[in-house]
Amino acid sequence: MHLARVEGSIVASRRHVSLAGWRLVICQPIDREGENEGMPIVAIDPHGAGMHQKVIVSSDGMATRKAVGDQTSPLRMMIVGIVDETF
Amino acid sequence: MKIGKVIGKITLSECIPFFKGARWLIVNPLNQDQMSRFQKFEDEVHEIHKVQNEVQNDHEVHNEIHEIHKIRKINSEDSIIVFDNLGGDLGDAIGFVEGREAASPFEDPMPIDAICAALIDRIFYKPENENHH
Repeated sequence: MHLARVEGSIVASRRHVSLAGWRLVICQPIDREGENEGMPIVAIDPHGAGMHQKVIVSSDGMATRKAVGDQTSPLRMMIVGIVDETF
Repeated sequence: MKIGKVIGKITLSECIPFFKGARWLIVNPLNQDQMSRFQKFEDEVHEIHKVQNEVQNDHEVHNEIHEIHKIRKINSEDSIIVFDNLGGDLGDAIGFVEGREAASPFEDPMPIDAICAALIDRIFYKPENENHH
């Protein structure tokens, strides 16, 4: 799992069927101080994270497949929680 | 998944049986910088062509844009070959998934590690701080 900051969203009408109805959010992986660490990724968002909120992104394909309910889904990245605070 | 720009396509003559008839895209993954500029670039190119060439037909505009996009790699990230069954075209932004999950949509075990999962219409992107290069 990675700490990330929400920095945008995407709209895609032509996509894999398992993505239907899911909010697709651009997350920038960050370190504890909030500095960028690597390239932005797109994750599905079941929690409705707001702009520039810190979130936890999981890259476990099995969890994402279970969440979308489709065993043939190619998705991997999913927001599993919204961060209140880090120490 | 990651966002990338399609900069080319590939056809295979000799390939394993699983790959017969498959569609492949050469994709340039987008960094922070290019994400915010990407949509703006697309709209500008369309407008420029329509005004300069006084072309009414969208089809002709599309072909000219192909010529520009074909040779334009917009950053120095490594290109990735992505399996595609959604119909991505040159210059499109796509969302692609890397890793073992890319083979999930197929019943037979396929040696694929990157698949196109979405053709992106619009990117809304507002970074809080710029990447330090």
